[in-house]
Amino acid sequence: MTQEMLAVQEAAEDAETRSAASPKKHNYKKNEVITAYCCLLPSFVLMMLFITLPLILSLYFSLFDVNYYLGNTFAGLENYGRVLFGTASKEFYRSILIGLEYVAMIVPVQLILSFLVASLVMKINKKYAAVIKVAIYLPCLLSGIVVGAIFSFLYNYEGGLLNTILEGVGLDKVNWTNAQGWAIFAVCIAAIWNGLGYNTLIMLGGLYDIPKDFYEAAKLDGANWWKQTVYITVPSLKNVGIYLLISLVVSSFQLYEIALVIVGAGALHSTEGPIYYLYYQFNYTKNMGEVYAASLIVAIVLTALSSVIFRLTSSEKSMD
Amino acid sequence: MDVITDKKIARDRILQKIGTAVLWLMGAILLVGSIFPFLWVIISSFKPVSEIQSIHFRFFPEVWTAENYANLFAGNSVYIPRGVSFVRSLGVTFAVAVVALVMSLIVNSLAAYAFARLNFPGKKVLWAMYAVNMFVPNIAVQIPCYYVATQLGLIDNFLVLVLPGVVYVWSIFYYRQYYLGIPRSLEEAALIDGCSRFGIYVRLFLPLSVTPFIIMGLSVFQGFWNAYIWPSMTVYGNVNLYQVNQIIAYFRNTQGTAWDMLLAATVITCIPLIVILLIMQKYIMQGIKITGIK
Repeated sequence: MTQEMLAVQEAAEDAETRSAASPKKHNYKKNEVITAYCCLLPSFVLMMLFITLPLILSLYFSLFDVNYYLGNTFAGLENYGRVLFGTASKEFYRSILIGLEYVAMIVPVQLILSFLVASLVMKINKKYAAVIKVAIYLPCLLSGIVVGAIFSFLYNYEGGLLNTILEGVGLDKVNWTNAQGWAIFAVCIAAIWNGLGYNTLIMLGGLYDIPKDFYEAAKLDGANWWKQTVYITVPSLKNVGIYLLISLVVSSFQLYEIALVIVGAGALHSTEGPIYYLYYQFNYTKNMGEVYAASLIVAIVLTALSSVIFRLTSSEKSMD
Repeated sequence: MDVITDKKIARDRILQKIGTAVLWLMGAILLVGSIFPFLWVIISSFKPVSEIQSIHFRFFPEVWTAENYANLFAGNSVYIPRGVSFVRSLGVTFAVAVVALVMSLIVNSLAAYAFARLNFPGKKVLWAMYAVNMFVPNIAVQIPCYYVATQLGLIDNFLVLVLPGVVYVWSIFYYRQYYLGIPRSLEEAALIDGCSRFGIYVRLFLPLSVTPFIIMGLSVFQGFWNAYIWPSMTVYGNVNLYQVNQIIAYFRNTQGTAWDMLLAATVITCIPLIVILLIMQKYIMQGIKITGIK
């Protein structure tokens, strides 16, 4: 009985504090505060342990020569210097360049293809479109390792499907996974297959959001399909496009698992992007400080890439 | 005059027909392109080893056989490393994904509830801290995270596969947004009836969270089922905890490829994901819409 009355009182107070919402005066209720901290405790502890603390440790250890046997000695910015200008820098820059190569090969193709496929799905009868949507999303569920496995089988030199087709057409067989020029190309095709469905569905969401009247008005003005696409569809997809661009750049730059399975250490390291570099260093380095420094530099490059894209595109937006 | 318009109409009709035909053709190509590589792996997984490795190409197996699957499950192949069992690894991966899924739903939604509904000192500061963590790139954290796991004595332990991936700040934001949309009148009635704040979470918010839980849960499960890098860093020394993707990657390494094992393992690993896609497609499509709007 008393409990019930207390609860009533509390509810009334609660309503009162909210209605007289003065930002400076807080009367917290002890029960509520305790409940709140208990609710936050598990996520807070895990977040600190596995996100915040590692970040701080990484910043801290990147300033040290970390040696398992000799202990840590303070090195200032030497680790960053070694990664950027020292003996290890050649491999580091090569991996960054390969990451950028992935970006250059995958991102434009993904954007254009996903736009085309999404426009196609828009035109198709709803019932069949649902089937296509599920089918193109299937590859997106698979891990990089599995995608790598599927495509290495297609790329197999002797008796692989792709080479059989090439031979059937009368062309020479290609050593997809070991030839210098072809290996990165082979990896990119697999990556595009892996990501296309997701990007298409995002595009499709953007297309559905464009009001139909825009097109009707344009038709009345005599605009053809091309003009409608250039003046209505593409500008309306700006936000979706920015989102896709950033997420594609970030994910392509970090492509790792697909290349690992398809190429492995073959093709003279022509597919080893930044993540490959970091994990290789992680496994074999004598000085972990360098790896921490390198991982922070990669993280900074990634953040910079996405913020540059964001700036560029949003500054354009403010103009129109 | 009439002749011209008739001709024009006829021409338009033909153009339209060609247009639809092209559309259908492109749709068909798309469908085949998306599914075919996978289908091809399924078909080939039923070939005996000699046929898989044969120079002579055959689309369908000459002899349909399930021996690759039998060998994989029985551990009957020289390519399977000592002490590794694919069946066990399937079980462990599934256990990791389910435990992580349940923990992630509870831990993140609890935090979201506190931020959406409770008043407490330091709310703004804490909210800002969570927001900052949302933008920390994974790559900056993963390697030092290994160090933290070492210090906690978690290496080669079941928990190391689960714990670091549980908190996903973006999902806290998503749940919070969802909870802010729930009318307060519901919980006021419960408060009057003497329900505690925590009781409200359990009896009111949890049952109302089914849809966001399914949407988020699907991607959490997928993430853990597909994990490769983190497990290969942290449970390297304990074959009992190997995840399925680690084993698949092992079947194709620098020494060579065990095609029979690779194909069978790939197909088996995909099955749960495909089943989920077919059953939950509605929620998956909804989830994609949400990430896109972000």
